[in-house]
Amino acid sequence: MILKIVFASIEKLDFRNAFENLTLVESIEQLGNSANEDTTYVLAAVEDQLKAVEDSGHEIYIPSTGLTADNQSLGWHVYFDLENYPFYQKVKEVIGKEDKPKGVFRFRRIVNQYANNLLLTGDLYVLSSLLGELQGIQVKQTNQIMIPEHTIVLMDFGGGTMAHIEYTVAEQERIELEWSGIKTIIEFDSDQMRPIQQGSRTSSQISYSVDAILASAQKVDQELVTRLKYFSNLINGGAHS
Amino acid sequence: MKVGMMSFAHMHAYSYADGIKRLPNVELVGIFDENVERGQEAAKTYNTVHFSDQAEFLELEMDAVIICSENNRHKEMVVNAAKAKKHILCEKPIATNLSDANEMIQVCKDNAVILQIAYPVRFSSPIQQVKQMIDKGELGDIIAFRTTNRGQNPGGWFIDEEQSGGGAVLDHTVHMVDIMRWYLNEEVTEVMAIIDSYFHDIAIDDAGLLTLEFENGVIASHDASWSRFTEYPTWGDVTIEVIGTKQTVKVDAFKEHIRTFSSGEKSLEHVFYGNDMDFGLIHDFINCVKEGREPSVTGYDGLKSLEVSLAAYESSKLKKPIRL
Repeated sequence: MILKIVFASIEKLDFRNAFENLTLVESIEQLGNSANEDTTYVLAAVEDQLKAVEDSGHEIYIPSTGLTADNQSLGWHVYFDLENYPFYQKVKEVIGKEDKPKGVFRFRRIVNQYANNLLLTGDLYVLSSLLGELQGIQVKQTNQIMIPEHTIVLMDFGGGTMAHIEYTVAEQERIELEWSGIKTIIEFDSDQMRPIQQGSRTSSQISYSVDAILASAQKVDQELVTRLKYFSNLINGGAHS
Repeated sequence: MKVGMMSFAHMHAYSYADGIKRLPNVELVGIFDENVERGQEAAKTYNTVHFSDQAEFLELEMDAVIICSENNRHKEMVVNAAKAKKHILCEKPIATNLSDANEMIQVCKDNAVILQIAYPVRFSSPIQQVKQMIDKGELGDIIAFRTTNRGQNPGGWFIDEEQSGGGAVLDHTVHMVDIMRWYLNEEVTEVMAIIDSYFHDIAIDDAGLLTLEFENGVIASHDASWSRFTEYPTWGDVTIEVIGTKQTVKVDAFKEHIRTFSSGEKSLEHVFYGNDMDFGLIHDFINCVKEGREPSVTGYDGLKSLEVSLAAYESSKLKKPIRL
């Protein structure tokens, strides 16, 4: 029996109104004999659980931040955090209306964990598919002994599109995005788009669905791995055109 | 106190003149403008005298002048006014090149007159409030800045490189570099930039992104553009986020607004109700002259922010970081 298993940051998932039949489990062992092929099982993306399904033959979905040299040849599916957010899909629709988008793109994340540049690598992969091929990149980071850690990435997509993407490591999750295009301006701030305002709470968690993960995920192949390595090298000061 | 104005080429001249008229015991004694029609109209509006001859204007008995000419004429007017022993408030950017800026600073020093550069953002209440928080240590050590200054294409001489010295990046970088220097008391040492032109069909830059590094390792991003079109709810923005070790604070100089909706072409409009920073600037300059003190924003401040802006153009052209 081949089971569909999605590994994710559970706190990021919105289980309401899911199309898929979902079951949240704490471990692979918990699946036992009652597991069936009509259900999608969701587990926290932690290393020991990923290891436990390595040679299981199940249909596995993992976040791009969990893609390692050990698991990239197992035929798993990988998904990118940014691509799953409904707001990003809307942004893509608007910017994608232009054949070759021209404008200034600004993207900022406040994240709990920087995940060793893996989140940034995934974001670059996603953004490059929207804005075009990278022509130049410069990365500046604050002194890592100072908290919070902040990173600024300046990118030239050529043909009139430039971008700043920035990451701050802090005790919250937040995404801000701006697109200044020709006669079109997009503004998004996850903190300002909270549908529920609860007392004085200021932190908010933006979320996405398992349906979105399944729809956006792609099978890991050599082309994808090479592309991600390319972006990773750029971030770490590798050569570019 | 008697004050004169030199040129109404820059639109800020009108709000500065409004500021002078609001101050007690300050008289606008004359307006010099080679554009006779514009000068005469301004003189009529502000109930003063128009001069089309600069030398004749500078012979007037007055304490100070406010220069709002095209950028490439700042030097000539500053030099002449300084030699005529008038204190000077000069619109930003100080000049179109560093050599002119240095000469302007020197001539004012030689003639013992004040040279203040018009950076009104320093007089925005929320911007000042954050400066106080920084100075009290409430943010801890600053580690990074994120700034924006985006507006509409002003057109006219602003888009003629010879007269302006640069487009949106020059126009909208100097303000925020000045604020960052002021907050940090440090100088920029490295500039990396991408500059382009595509929002308008013009032969000068209208967009740019800059990454800066300061002497003490603080890093900053800056977004300068003329990307705002007329239907956008407001003319543009001035924002700075200060990321500190104790807390992060974001300040938006034009945040204080009411939102009005109408059925016209511009359905949503932000109507600003915050403090009048142009008036704050004029008030400060007049007090500075009155008290004979060092200006709040010096010629050197103007020079250093210009230096960063010019380095951005060089970086974009050479596609590499520029060390200052």
